[in-house]
Amino acid sequence: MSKNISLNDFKYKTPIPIRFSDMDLFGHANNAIFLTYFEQARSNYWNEIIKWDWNAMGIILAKAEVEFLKPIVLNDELFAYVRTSRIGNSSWDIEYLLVTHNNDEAVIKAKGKTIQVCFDYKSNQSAPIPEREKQTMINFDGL
Amino acid sequence: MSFSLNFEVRDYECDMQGIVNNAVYQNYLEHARHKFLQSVGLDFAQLHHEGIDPVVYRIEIDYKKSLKSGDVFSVSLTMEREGNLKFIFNQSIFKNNTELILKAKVVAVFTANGKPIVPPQKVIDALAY
Repeated sequence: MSKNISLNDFKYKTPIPIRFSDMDLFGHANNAIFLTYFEQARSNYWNEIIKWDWNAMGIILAKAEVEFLKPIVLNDELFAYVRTSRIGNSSWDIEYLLVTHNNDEAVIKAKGKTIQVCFDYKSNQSAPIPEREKQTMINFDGL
Repeated sequence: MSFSLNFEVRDYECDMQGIVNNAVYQNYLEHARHKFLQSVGLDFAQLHHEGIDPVVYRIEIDYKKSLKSGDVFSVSLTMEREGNLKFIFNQSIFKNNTELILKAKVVAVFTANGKPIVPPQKVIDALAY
């Protein structure tokens, strides 16, 4: 994860609904749910910004990192900030911030990073990132 | 110190790709950690009543292969202490005890009133068992 990362480093944010069932015994969002929040966030980013063609190319996760900074509670108004931070040939990095905006105050609750790989389900092996999607990520996030 | 727990994939843990969803692995890892803590005599509810909560500070997961419906697998862990505050769980998931599915590093700390603390001696003794 990039050090000293801030909200200003991100161009895309998306609301993340918090469900009652996300809460653990202590009224905090369970650790495992953070990866589901990241999954929802990157899916929204790929669909809204990158316009990923899911019929042409699949994506699988190779690595995930989460840094838990503060608990998320049920009545938080939660947003995920998402950006592509590195592009390779077949793999790329996405960074995340989970942020609450309660009473106009932004509080970073968690940071994260995932590495994902293009996967061609027809040939059953990894594949280069499609050029159109790659250029859209580069242009949108200024890589 | 090492510990291992056996599991079987349930159908509802798989996504539309027919494999276990990435977030579900964290449930397996967490359940194994909790059973490990139980096995050394640490009770989460009791600690909470005493104002002490172990929390995960950071997690890294390297996904190597996928599990599918009905797969039988084990979650193993070793634990080490880093400095006074951090407890590191190095966890692995193996299918049929031979095929590496993922590796994870989980950093946990004990907290009281939301602040990291050195846990009570009884906790340290239990984890050193």
